[in-house]
Amino acid sequence: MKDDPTPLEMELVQLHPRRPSADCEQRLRQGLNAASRATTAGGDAGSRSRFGVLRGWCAAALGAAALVLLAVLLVERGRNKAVRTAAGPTRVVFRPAAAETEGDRAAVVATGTVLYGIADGGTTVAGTGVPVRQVRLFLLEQARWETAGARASFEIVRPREEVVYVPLPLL
Amino acid sequence: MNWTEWFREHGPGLLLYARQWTPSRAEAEEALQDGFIRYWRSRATQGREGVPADRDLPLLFVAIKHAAFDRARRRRRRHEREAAAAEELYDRDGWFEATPADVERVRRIEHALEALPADQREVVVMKIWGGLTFRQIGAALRTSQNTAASRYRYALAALRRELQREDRAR
Repeated sequence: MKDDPTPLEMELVQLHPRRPSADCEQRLRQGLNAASRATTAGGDAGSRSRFGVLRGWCAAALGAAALVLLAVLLVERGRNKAVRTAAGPTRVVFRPAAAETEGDRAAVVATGTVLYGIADGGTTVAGTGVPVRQVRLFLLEQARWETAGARASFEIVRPREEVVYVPLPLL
Repeated sequence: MNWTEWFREHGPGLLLYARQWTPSRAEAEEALQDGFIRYWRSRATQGREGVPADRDLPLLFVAIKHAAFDRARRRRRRHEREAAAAEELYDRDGWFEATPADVERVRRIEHALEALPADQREVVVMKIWGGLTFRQIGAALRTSQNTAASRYRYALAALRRELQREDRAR
């Protein structure tokens, strides 16, 4: 197909599709960063069992609960369908853990959760018949490991998505 | 070329492609994001870095189309429970940039594009605004490059007819 372009083709080429919004570009950049970090951390499968025994997990859950509360407030205030994303990591909650390092054995020294995005999933009806708003939270779970004297350290970052339902008041 | 430059160059074409399968610009941007990250993850597992190569463009288009379909399925399920959300299907934001001087013509072309069969329209979008070759389009759509070229020709003929019909009606 080496034919010369027709006038119609030339007119179509002159049209400029709308650009993705700056918000879209930013969200995409954050998503790619999260995906890259997750890959660098070595994937989920190998680390999942170790994550199951981390002692600082309860603190991370509490931090996530606080962020859920923040998300609820944001959604209740805005009530629109657009996806909203924090300009950067909303909060990093690092909790020092009791490091028990012996020799070259690494131990977890801090854990935390970062909320990097929130999406409004729309209105639906709960099993009880109550209208609820679905809120999707995009989180990164982080854990830092160090050997005694911090001669070596590494971090595991795992992306996670949570869905929470917020009961809507019946007017 | 860094990632930002790459996205500025290819983003509009990818977004336009996503809009073929989504009811609004916001949904299209979501599909673009989902598809791009899906593609990025699969690429990362192969240890590849940097901006997407031209040879990967067909993969990106396919990933975005699949992401748009996934979103459409979820949206349909949600809409069955949420009839009040019908206004979301309306999108007053055009596909193309337009100035006051040419907005009428641009909108007519948009309508003519919308009226095309989906399999022809996507070839036009991939070819003209995505910059893909017929060989790449054929690979992305799992068809031959001759079929892709035929769809393109049919689409142009249909577009021309539709625009001429509108011109006569004015």
